Amino acid sequence: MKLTAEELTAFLDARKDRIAAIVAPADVEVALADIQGRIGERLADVGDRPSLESLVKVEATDFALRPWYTRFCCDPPDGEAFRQLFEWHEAYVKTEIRKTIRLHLASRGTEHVESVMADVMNALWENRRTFNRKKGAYVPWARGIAMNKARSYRSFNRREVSIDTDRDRPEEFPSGGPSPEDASDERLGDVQGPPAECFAEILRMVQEFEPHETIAFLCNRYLDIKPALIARSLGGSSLNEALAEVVRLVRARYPDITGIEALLAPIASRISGLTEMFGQYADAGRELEKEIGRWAERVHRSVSGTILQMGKRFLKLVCDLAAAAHEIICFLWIRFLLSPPVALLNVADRELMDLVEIFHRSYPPISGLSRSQVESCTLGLRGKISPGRSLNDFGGSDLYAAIKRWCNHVESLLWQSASSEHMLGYAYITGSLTRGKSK
Amino acid sequence: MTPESDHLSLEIMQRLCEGLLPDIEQCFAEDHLAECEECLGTFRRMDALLYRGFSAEAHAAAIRREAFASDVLVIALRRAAALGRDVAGVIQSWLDSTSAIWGEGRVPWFGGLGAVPVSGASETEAIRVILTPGAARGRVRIVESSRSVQVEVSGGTRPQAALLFDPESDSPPAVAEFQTANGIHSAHFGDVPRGEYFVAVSPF
Repeated sequence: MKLTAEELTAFLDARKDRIAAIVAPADVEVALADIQGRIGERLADVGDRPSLESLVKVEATDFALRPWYTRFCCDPPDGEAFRQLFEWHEAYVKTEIRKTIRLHLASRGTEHVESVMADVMNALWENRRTFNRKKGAYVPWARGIAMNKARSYRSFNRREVSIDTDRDRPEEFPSGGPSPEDASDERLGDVQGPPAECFAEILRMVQEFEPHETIAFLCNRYLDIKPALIARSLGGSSLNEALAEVVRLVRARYPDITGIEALLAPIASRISGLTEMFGQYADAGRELEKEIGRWAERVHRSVSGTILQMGKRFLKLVCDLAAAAHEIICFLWIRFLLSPPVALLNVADRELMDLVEIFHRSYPPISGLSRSQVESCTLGLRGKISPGRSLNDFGGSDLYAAIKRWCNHVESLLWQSASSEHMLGYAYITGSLTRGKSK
Repeated sequence: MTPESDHLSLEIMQRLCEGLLPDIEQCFAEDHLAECEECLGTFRRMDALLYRGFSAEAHAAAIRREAFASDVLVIALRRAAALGRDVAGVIQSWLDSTSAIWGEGRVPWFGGLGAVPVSGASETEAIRVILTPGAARGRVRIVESSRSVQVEVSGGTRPQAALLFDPESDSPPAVAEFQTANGIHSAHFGDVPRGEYFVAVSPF
C-alpha cells in the first residue's frame, strides 16, 4: 500500500480518539506528530491497512512508555524507572511479553512461562543499552528478546542424549515416551499431533541428500544427539557402521518405531559399497563437529522448505481426486482457506463456480502460490462443475452435517493418494490431514 | 470468519517458527495468532512437525497415539462417555487413567494376560465372569439367546464400574456399577444378546 504524507495525516486524524485512549490527553497533538514522523520513515515497509493500524497502536503505546524507558536505556540507568515501567504498565507490557512466551513455549504450563518471564526481565535489564529507538519501539524489541528466551528455554529443556553407552546401561536413557515434564501436557488421549505417516514420509525425504548429511540429520535432529558427541563417537566409523548405530539406537530407545530398517533401506542401499569414514566428509580445515551441525541444519531447512513448496502439487492432487466437485470445494474452503463449515452455509446458494473463484482470490496470500498457479491446479475441479449448481442442491435437510461429511470423505481419499507423493507433511501443516490413518 | 479475511501466510509462519521475522512483524504475527484459532492451529502443526517434533521421540509418540486411539477399550470408553450417563465421570476418569497407562507402555490385549475363567451352568443363571486378582480385562461368549452376565472380583478395593461391549458391533457399550456382598464385588449386566463380548473393570 502506498500512502502519501497527506493520506497518513488523514489516517491518523481519523484515529485521534484511539490514540487519546493510549497517551495522556494533553499529549495527543504531540503524540500525533511523533507517530507521523516515525511511521512516515517506514511507509514503504507497511504492507497493508491492518498493519498500519497495528503500527499506529504500537507507536502510540511507545510514546506513552517513552518517559520510563529513556531513563533506564541510558547511562547511568535509572533502576526505579525500569521497575515502574513493568509494574505500572504491567497490564500492557507484561501481557504482551507473556503472549510471546506462551506462543513459543507451545504447550508448557504457567510455571514455565513465569520462569522464562524472569529470564526475560533479566535480559531486558542487561541488554538495555542495545535498544535503539530509531530502529523501532520498545515493546516489539522486548518481545523479540522474549521469543529468543522462550526458544532457548525450549531447546535447553530437551533431554540431552548420549550415544555410546546405552548398550550397558539402558536405564539411563529415555524410554521413548514423553518426559515426565511433558506428560501432564500431552496425554495420549488428548493431543492431536502429526500422524505417524508424516514422520515416515519425512524420513524418506531426508534420504535424498548426500548420505553423510542424512546420517548427520538422523543423529542430530532425529535422535537429538549433540554434534560434538556424534563427531567423537562416529567420526571414525564408516557410513555403514554409523547407520547401523542409528538403527540400533532407534530400536533401543523407541521400540514403538517398528521397521526402522525398512524405513532407512534407501540410504542403506546407497552406502553399501562405500568405505569412507563419516569424518572424512568434512571439508579440510573444518571441525567435524561444526560440519555435522551444518549438514543436519541443511537437511532440516531443505526438507522444511520442500514441504512448504508442495502446496501446488498437493492442491492439484485434491482437485483431481475422484470425488464430487461440491465435496472438493467444501474441503478446499475448510482445510485450505481455514474457513469454518458455517461460513459455507452463508454461500450455499451461490454457484459452485463462484465458490471456486473466491478460492482463487483467497488462497494465494495464504499459500504463497500465485493466482495463476492456483488456477492451473483447479482445472480438473472446474471441469467437473455443472453450471447453475450450488451446495444447496446436494446437502439435503442438514447441509451443515453434509458439509462435514464431504470434507471427511475427501480426507479419507487423500490418505490413500497423498503418501506416495511425499505430501503428507504439507497436508498435515495445512490441516488438510489431521488424523492418523484409520486402522 | 469468511475466506475473504486475512490469514497469515505459511511463509510468515515458517519465518516465525525459525525466529527470523523482524521484531515488529513478529509482534503482528503473534497478535494475529492470539486472535485467530485457525492460524494458530496451522502454526502449532508446523511447529510440531517441522521444528519441535522433527525427532524420533515425536515419531514414536505419534505411533503410540494412533495405536492408543485404535485400542478397543479406548473406543468403547469414548462411546460410553458420549452416552452421558450417571457414571460419565467414572468413565472419563477411566479414560484419563488409561491414557496415562498407555503413556508408560501398552496394556495387555483382551484375551491375553487378562483372560479369565467363565462359568454359568443353566440358562436361568447369570454367566459369571470371575476376574483373578490383578486382572482387569476378559472375554465372554454368549452362544444361546440373551443371558445376564455377572462380573466378579474377589478381595481388594471395590472397583467402581465394569464395561461390557462388543468391539465389532455398533451397539453402545453397557456400563454397570459394582456392589459388594460377602467380600465379593460384582457388577451385573442383564439381558445381554448373543455375541462375543469384552469385559473391562475400572482401575479404581
